[in-house]
Amino acid sequence: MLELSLFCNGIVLGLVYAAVALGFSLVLGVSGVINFSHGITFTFGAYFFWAMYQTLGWIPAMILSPMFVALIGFFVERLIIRRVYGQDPLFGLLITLGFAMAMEELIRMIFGPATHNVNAPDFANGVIIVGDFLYSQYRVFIAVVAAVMVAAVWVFTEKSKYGSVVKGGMFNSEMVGALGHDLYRMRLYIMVLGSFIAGLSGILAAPIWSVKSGMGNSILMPSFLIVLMGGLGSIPGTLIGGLLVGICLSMGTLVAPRFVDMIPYILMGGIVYFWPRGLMGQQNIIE
Amino acid sequence: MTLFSIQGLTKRFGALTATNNVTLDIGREGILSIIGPNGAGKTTFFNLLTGFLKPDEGKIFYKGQDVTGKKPYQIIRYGISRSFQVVSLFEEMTVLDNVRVGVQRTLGFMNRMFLNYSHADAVTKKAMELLEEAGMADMADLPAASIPHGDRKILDLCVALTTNPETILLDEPMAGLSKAERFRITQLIKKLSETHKVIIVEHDMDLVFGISDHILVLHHGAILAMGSAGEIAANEEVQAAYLGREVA
Amino acid sequence: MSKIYKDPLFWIFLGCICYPFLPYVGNFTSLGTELLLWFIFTLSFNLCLGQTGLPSFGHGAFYGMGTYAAAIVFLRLSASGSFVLPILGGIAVGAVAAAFLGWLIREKRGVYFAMMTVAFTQVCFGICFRWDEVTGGEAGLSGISRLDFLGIPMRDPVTFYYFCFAVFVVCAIVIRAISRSCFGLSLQSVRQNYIRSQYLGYNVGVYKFAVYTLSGAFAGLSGALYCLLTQSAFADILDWTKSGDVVMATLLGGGTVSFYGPIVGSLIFIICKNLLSSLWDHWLFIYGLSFVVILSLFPTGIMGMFRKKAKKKD
Repeated sequence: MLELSLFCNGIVLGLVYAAVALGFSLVLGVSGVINFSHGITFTFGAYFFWAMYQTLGWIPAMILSPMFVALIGFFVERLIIRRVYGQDPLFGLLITLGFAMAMEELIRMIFGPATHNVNAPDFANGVIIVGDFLYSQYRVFIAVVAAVMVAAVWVFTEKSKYGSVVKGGMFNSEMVGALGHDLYRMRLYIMVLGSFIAGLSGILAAPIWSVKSGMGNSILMPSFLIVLMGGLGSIPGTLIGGLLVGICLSMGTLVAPRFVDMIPYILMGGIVYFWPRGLMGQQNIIE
Repeated sequence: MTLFSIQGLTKRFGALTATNNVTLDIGREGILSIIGPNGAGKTTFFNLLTGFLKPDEGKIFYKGQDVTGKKPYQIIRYGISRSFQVVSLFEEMTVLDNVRVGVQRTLGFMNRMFLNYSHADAVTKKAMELLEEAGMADMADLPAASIPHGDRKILDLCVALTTNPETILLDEPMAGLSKAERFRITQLIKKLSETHKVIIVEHDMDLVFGISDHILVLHHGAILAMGSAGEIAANEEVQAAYLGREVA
Repeated sequence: MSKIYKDPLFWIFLGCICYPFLPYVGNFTSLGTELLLWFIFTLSFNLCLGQTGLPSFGHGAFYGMGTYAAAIVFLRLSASGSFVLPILGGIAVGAVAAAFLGWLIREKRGVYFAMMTVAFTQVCFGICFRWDEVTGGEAGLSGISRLDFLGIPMRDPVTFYYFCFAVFVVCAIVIRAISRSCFGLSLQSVRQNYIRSQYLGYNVGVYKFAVYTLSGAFAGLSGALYCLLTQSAFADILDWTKSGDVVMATLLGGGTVSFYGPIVGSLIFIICKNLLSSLWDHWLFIYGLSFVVILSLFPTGIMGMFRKKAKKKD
């Protein structure tokens, strides 16, 4: 039974990773910026939520907090990311990394260095029993919300007219600009959307990981690795990458508990070594 | 005497066959121009010859040696060199250093690998000779990014010559040049053809019919015709596919 | 030789000689030593980033492996009581690790190159953090002491400072000679236009491999000296965020346009980290924001700001 519950944990974790990685991938695809402040929006989501949920209740806080985070995303795009459009993606990476460093310190300044615990909501604070298998309701709740996020982004890019432009932007921003769409505004919207997803994911993870200033770093690198692994611009690839990392991380504790942290890096290294564009990637703007 | 011997060369990009079963011998003398309507596969053919792309089928022999699928740095060592359609230089270096980079490798630099490059006199001398021949010696110390477009085209050519090639392939040497600059390049190419085999891909018909000894016409990736300038001008198939439409 | 006064390295060396005699900061000898080691490390890193354009974002791996190699050599092999052996061990391990990684990823570019190096450093971090039997795991390795070298007692911090200074002088001169050599010009050509370099007959992958190995050796050297400085080895120097600090410091200083950029950058970083932090806990907030502001206004960093002036002088 341990194996099964670890496997389920892996899927839950993988869905959260995939959701965050999708936000990352959208911004990278449309704007050509490797946004390393993505992790900090995750942290902000969790902190805002922690500050609000006891007074407002779980669901209102869960809706409000990502909106604040999206607002942060709005300002980050206006003030910082806009400046690095068209430059080397790695330059954008470093600028946003510097910004993330400053923001992490800001969080420590405002909320203090202590780690905070968040309780799971009452409506999901029990266990699900299937036969003799017990599983946390809250993790099922996470899985459902994360899956809804992934599905929403997928449907959005596949079905809507606007989404097809987003998908087009993943391969060639110049082309999209020439098509007459307002690329400038679209980059802003995508950044806001990406921040919203990251903020919401931060909330979902809060009861499991507990809220601390460094929590963004623990999601930032895996999600970027997942983007590279799955292939830029491929939503199925990102989903597969996320689940792969989640399941390997979770099941890895059975095989080599001491070296489990290395798994995402080894996976990425191996995959990119043999498939230079990731599992399902096509020619893209970061080559 | 054949220089290039090409057998059944084919390159596909997805559904598009950019080079379709080209079999051809190229002689050692004179200037060969490759022309064809847009999308005829000129650039692909050119990139196959210079090792930038790997062919899906077929073989390329250079002086009897198989060079199929060799990488650019290996192709260079057979005595083949190329220039670029979009000028491709080391933008942050001076004009002289641009030439030095090539010269120092060609002269062999194992023995001066860790010598300060501006003190490598043999390299500097050879580099200045090349620049003087091209009439650019007075620009030697200017940054490559700062000189006029025509001079940049010539510098691109100079850099291509640093590898001591016997065969040089020029990718649209006239693209984006003014009339005076075109004349200058034409003279240079003529001079070059006295000592080198020159293969040109070009849209400029005045240049092509003015200086070519042979013209190869590609259409839909395959050979449409090959012959002297007069023969090509008189060829009705070529006119139908290409010249006629161009005039109209 | 009046020309020597025009050489920035001369003034940098002079500053380093005077450091222990400076008021206030001069008392922090280990801070000065750390600064020298950062100079060596960032200069060698800039052979990759500034010279060849290799975004080696996990360069801390070679520094950290140098540290661990020195510690392990000292604790396990150095029964003879040699001062030099751990240092040589650090250099060798740094070079071998860099050669291994450099060969694997010699054909990768840009983001993919960067992330492969990050993955490598994280794997090294994992090994050092968890492999308790050899690396001491979370507790790290300690009990390393500085032995006598040629009869000079290195136990004294100031003596060790001047030893590191001597190493720095050699490294700085050698690295500058490399970057100005024919080999260095070839490396520059790879950074500026690798396609053209190939068409000049350069096997670009081999050049990347060569410079990466070289850089790894210098990084291993500075790491080994760091081990002797702190007389311990901990895994946190291998974390990717530490490697990120190095990249940021080099870029902030202007490593992409100037040989001296890394020195300026590490000076600023180390001063902020050690002095500013004693004034205000949240110094990273200021450092991070200034990095963003400076780099978005001057993408070539601090040396880039002065570059035009300097060019006119020449």
